[in-house]
Amino acid sequence: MTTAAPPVHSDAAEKTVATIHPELVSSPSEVRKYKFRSKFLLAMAIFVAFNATMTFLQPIHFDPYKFNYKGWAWWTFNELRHTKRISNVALLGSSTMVSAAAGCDANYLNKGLDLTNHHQSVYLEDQFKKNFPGDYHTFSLAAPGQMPSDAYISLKGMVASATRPDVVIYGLAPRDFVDSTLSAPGDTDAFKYVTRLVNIDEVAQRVFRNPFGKLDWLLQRTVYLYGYALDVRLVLDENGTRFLNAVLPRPWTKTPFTWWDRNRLLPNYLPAEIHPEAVMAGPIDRKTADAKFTDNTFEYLTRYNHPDKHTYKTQMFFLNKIAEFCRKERMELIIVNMPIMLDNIRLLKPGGYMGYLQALKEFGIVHNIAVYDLNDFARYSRADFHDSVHLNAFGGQKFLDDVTNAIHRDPRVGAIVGISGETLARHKELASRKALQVF
Amino acid sequence: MLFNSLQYLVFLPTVFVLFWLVPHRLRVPLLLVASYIFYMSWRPIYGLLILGLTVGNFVLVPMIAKAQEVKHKKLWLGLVVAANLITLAIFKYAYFGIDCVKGGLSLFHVDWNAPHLHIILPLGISFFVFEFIHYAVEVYRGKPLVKKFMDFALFASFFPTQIAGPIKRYQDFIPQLDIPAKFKWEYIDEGMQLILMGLCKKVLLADNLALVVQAGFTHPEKFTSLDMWLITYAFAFQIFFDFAGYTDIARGSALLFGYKVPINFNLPYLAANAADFWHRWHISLSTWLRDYLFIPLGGSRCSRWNMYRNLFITMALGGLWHGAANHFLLWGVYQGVLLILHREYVRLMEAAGLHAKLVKSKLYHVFSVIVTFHFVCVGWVLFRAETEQMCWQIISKLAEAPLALMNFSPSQLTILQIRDPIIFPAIILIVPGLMIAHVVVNWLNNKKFYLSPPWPVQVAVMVAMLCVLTIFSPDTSPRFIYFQF
Repeated sequence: MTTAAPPVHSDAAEKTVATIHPELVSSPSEVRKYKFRSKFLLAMAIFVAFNATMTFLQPIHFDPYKFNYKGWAWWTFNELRHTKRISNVALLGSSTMVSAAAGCDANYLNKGLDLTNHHQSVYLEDQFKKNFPGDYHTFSLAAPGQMPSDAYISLKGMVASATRPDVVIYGLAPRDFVDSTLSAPGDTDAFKYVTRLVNIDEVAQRVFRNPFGKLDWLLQRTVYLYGYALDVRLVLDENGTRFLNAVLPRPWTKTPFTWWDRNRLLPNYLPAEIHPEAVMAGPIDRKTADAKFTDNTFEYLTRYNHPDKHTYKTQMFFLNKIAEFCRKERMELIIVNMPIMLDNIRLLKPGGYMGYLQALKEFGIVHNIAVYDLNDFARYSRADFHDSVHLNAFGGQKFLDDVTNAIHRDPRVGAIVGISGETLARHKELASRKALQVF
Repeated sequence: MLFNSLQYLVFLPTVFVLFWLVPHRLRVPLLLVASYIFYMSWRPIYGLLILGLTVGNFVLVPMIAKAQEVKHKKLWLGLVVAANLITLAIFKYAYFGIDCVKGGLSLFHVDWNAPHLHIILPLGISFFVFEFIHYAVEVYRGKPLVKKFMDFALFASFFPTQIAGPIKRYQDFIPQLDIPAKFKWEYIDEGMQLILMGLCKKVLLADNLALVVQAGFTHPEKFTSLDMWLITYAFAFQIFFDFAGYTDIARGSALLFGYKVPINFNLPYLAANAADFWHRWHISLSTWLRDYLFIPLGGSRCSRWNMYRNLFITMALGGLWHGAANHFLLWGVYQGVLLILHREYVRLMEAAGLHAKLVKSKLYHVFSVIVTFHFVCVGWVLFRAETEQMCWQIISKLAEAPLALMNFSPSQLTILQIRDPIIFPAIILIVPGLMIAHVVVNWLNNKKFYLSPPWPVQVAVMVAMLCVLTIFSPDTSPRFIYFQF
């Protein structure tokens, strides 16, 4: 096929261009013959065909658990993947829940806890055992910065990849809905990782705030190489590392380069990645806890500064999705309003906190689920907090006692928790009998 | 809007399709609107800046042409150049100026309470201001005026070259706008090849090398002298691939509309001397500096020492053009000194009757290329180092390399210790690979391979680039280095 010769114009402009860029103004004698109309179009056609073939055949199985970013979500699901424990209680929440549960456990067990592999609340398990029949294993999906969207995808990920808990306790605070530093749901590391394990098609419209986020997601779904880009990069990285280890082995030195060294050298490279022993919770006494209290008013002035309606609506949507998902999977969802200090609430816009509480109560009524407001200003004093929103070990213990008591007082939820405990106990008994039979 | 973003992936094809669908008379307005959308997508208010400068220059420059007497022409030219430079100074050099004044006053123990400014550097201001000055000077020299405002406005704001050049010449660009060109598939083929090549340079090479460079230039104390040489080489290639990648995308994008913009690079690290380097590196800037600074200062048609003075001033100001900071000025001064030393060296060799013989020798050429590359690399340390203290720390480390080489052992290389990210040890292989690639590309250029490569090769290369770019998704890539200038 030949390309049409461009028209030759005899005006001065064309002459000037012909002198400067003769290739732009070709004469009929310069018409070039092409086998194809366009080489780029041919290349695109091959590229599209390749992707379509790969999508259809799916010849390579990539491990979805492999990820380049070992953040909270990765460590949580890494433990879920390897644990043999069946958990009947799941905990959801942001750092408010993490600090309460981990701090309390560190004191309760009187040892330092590595939060990359401590994803449970031993204290709550024991409280449940004391107050309800049967046995209890908790698994904490709570992670710093967890929004309802992250909580939804994490819970879905747990059910899809490990075990279905009978009871889900979700600790919420106003900042989970009105925080002006909240990113779009699809931007969090939890979302990016867990979507490798579960399908998010049904909520995709709400995940991306701008059209380019949606386009990116659409491309990931339709272009094989784009969808598996991270997996291919990981494979290349692994092979590259293997090759370099063989060709350029690491020389022996007295002080090998560690993860900590890397963090100091490249603080912006995988900034939210965590490492064993990087995030620890240790036992603490009253005096030290008091001394360590931090005033984070300024931080929350920024975070509460511009409450965003879109973020609020999106996160309420995901909270509703959690309730729907729990009903569908026959899990009992318990919403807990986390204790925070009055000083922090005062930073919210007038009526903001009451509006939030009202929304939680309405949510409970609509979905027929238990909503416990445990933010009792008379019960929780400054001595129970790390800062204006995070409970310390002592406050955490109080909080977990309150959760247990609230469930205990609620006949319907209490009965469900009790049944769950009895079921797990029976399950464990059966499992141990089977193990004995094997021997 | 970054070239390596999804926004551009949507924007460019949209403008491209509209451009070839609308009649010729609407093409310039269309590109003008698109260019303003492109510019204002970052900070809408700065659209007024570029528009104001465009209107100002379009109104004032004809005064130069209309003036009958030379002194009036000069006056008008001075006014136009000053207006452009003052705008540039306010937006780019205000902080630097205040710091300098404050520093100067502090020498006399005067504590000046400097005004607190909130100026954000408009993207691409250095590039379009230089284009306006070029236009004014050319009109002063007797070249024709641009008659149509739309053409002139597009010359300054044309989105492919708007943010980081190449710095265009209006005599080359404006006439292309008048041709009622018909769509040719070659535009897509050649344009897309350039765009893909540019993205690969940016995403695959520059962004990966950036990690090593960032670590080395912020924590030089953690690395040995041999590491620092490798890191400096890595920066040399990072800045080259970053900027050359941008230029390729700009040229490719322009070509999609059938427009040619000048090249900016010609294998700069194969330069055999400092002067040759400036014929190959950022060509559109170096020719601008030559035509509108070096020559007006007197150029080389004057006494030797005056010529050296002109070179020195030209390169020092060229350095300062890159940014309002001492290290850029220092880099410019260093380049000026290198050019002067090279001229002196050539003069001495010619006087000794050795120059002609040496230039013919291949071995001497290879030696010259290696030496020039290393001088350029030392210059890059001045360019990149964040503080002067760090700059001297790195240069003194580089100077220790001969001693380190005498007692070489792999344990001297800290980068071999780092396995995450793997790019650290990999640069031991990548840097020589890139040097060899320069030589191979030069060889292919000499063989005129790029003029008519076999179509299966072109298609295969494009498919490979599409795959690679899809995998190393450009949306996560940081912005181009030259955007800050």
